[in-house]
Amino acid sequence: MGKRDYILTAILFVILLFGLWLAQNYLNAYMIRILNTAFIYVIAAVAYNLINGIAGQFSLGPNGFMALGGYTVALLMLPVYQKIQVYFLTPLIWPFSVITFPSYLFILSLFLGGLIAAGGAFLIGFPTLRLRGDYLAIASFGFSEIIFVLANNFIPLTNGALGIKGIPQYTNLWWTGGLAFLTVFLIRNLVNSSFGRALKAIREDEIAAQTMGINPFRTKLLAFAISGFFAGVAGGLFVTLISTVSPTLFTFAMTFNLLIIIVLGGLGSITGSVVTAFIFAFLQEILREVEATHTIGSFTIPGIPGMRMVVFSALLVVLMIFYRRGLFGTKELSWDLVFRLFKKKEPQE
Amino acid sequence: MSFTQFFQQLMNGFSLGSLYALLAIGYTLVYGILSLINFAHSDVFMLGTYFAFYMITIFMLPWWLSVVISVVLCAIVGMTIERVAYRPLRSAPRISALITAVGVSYFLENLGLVVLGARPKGFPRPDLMKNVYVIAGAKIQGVSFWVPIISIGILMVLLYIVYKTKVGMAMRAVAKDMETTRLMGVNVDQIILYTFALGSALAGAGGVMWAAKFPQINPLMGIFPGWKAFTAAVVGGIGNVVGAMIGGFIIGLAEILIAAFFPSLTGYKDAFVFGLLILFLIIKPNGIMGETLKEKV
Amino acid sequence: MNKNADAILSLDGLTMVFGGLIAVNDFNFQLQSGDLAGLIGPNGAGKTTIFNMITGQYIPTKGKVVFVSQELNHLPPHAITSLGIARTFQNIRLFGNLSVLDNVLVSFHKELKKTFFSAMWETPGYIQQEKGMREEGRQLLEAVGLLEMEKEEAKNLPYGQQRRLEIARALATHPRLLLLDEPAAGMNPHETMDLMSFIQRIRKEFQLTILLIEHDMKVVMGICERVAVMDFGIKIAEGTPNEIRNNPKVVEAYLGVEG
Repeated sequence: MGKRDYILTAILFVILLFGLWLAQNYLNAYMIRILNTAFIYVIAAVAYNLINGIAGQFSLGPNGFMALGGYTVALLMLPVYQKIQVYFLTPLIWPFSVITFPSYLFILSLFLGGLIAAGGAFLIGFPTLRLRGDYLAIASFGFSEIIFVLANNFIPLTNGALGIKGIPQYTNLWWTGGLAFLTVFLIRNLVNSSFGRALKAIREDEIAAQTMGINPFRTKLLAFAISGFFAGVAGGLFVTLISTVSPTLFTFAMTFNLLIIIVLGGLGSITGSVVTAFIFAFLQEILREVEATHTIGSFTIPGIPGMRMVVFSALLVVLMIFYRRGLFGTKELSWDLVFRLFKKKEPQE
Repeated sequence: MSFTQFFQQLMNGFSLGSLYALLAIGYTLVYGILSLINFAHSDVFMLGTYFAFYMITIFMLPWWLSVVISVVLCAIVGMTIERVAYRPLRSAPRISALITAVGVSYFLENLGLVVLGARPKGFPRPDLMKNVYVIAGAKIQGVSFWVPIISIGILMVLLYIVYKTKVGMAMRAVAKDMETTRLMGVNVDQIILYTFALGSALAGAGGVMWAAKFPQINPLMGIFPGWKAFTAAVVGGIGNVVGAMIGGFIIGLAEILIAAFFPSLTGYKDAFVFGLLILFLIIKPNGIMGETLKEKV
Repeated sequence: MNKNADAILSLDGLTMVFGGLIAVNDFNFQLQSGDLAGLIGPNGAGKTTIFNMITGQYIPTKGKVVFVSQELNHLPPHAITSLGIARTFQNIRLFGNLSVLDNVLVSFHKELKKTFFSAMWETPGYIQQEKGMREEGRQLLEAVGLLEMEKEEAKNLPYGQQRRLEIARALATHPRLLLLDEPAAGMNPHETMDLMSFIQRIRKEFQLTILLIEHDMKVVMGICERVAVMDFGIKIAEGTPNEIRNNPKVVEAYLGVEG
């Protein structure tokens, strides 16, 4: 970024802070919840796009990574007295049974949640990313299902299907908005860097990239771990937003939502994912109406529960067939682009 | 564990393995030709059970006829998916086709939840499957006895089709080199459709037998068997039909025997299959029967 | 004096077997520093397979590749590139959706010290590094005459310029040995003439040793000082262009076919 862009980005950040302040004070709880969800989607989707869109490696793991981050944060932040209540059937194993982070270490717990998730990403990436083919897809899908199985069965750690309740609600708009801004800033810088170019080169033609001296395995693995890290942070934010975590919180539906977001925004467009994460968060609420029962005059139209996901999955297939590049393709919204939009066409253009 | 118990578990594992094998064939055939993980395959398997369920319960058809109709319907569904969702993306980047496959799979599952209902349905077993046979002192359930026998019969027919018929030869040719095969005058699109039909028919047959073995059916029932069957295809060597069968039996037997020998680990038997997948990808990524594939440079 | 000792590249008894097919059989060849040599032969003679063995895409079934007295046999392609061997591909393999400049910049990645972490936070060191890299990339594009196209997506370039970009991208890895796989394929006579002088120019400018595969006899006979001829995986002749032209074996196996 040049100096001008830095200043503009800083201004945008200030505007965002002001917007958050307005939202926090003047919006109702329902709207604030949607905004929080949207910001968490931004973090998770941008991270997911890094591996799927920029590096071109198909992963189905984000829900697994979010679960890892979510459980880690829950176990670290839940007060000890609450732990005794929650784990009344099977006691929680040491050392989590005695550890509770004070609230000012919330950021550290998010960081650790991210690290654990990155570790999970490393675990699946290591055997699969050295192979050509789509083994990453099937292994990451399996991984997420296994996380689900473990969350249900490894009761001394996860409390099984009952989940963990009473997690302190640290997350608010400042956290989600701030971290979303930071994530987009960091990942955009990364994508525009030499490392990002190497990832794109691998996406375009792995053999040619390797012939130009890029170690594809190491580069992909690092990108996958970074992607896992931010997914973990998003998971941690999510559980401290709704103050509970259970195995059904991070199912494949979560990954699917993120997939729709990044495809609609354009695979490979970070800013595209930001825009569509917001669109999706609101669309999800609007489509809730489809599932509700409506009464118009004397007619009653019964709601169809589950119809939302039918619509979304049909939308994804239609998008892929007819509108594969999404809203932004691989292009990014940039300050240059904004300036060009506002300037009149100049003679040399 | 006594010998008779072990024998019972072995037969149980065989029957489960033969079902994975049936399902794995569809994955391996499609992957061999299009390099595509057909995520929707597991949902065709699920639909197969529902087709048979409705034929038996609503249309009151005899069991064998219901199975035949269900297999045919599955083949049609498989071909439709290929024609509508996959063919338009054949020249697109591979990740697009994969995303579409995930989309189709998720669409079928959620449509199933809406149309068929989320609540599990009890699948009517035929008497044949309910019988108990006593072999060498071991009590063998009808399903454990008949499922492997029927499956192996079907697999024999499949091997015949793939290796001895003209269509089978064309399938193998398309898998080796699509462009050259096209130049030889083979209608590649048609062969790909046939491949989907064949794989989906096997999934349908497997689905019905699965329901006879585990007689609770629901729209999400295909996910785990499908994922394990794909793992079986990888273990056997993706793209290789015989390998997929071997892989299926390995996964089925391993799963049952793990649970039999270590009852406390039953909850983790899926995690074990995952471990096996990772292990194979590290040690023998080409699988048991797979050839070393080299990308053309 | 042992000929191998000062060879920049030495191929000793290279053999490649695919299934039952012997693609290359016992191939021996040496390049001295600064050579410009050609590899010719009918289609399917195994020329590209030799390139693939040198650059690590294939592991030779038998024999070895030695580059500046280091054996390359089991090194991965990216490590071989780092040692100073670059190549182009017969069927152009550019990064189609990346800009022309980015295509070249990709090749610098292996030499960078500041990577992902400093890039994320845009440290001053990183910005400095990025600047220097762009500068060098532009110079390189200027050298191959593509500077005005730097922002264009690579896939939109006309064919001849794509070939040039592929060479520029290979040069950006800072090679000592450059392997060109049919650089003149698909070019008209005029473009071919340009290419010939271009190859000679970069050879001097970048102090390169060059080995090229080519079907166009004008190119091979015009610029190569030494030529090896292959047929059915075997080297059937080696010598100066003049010797090759008059070698009866070559005329029979190769030139005879062409007329």
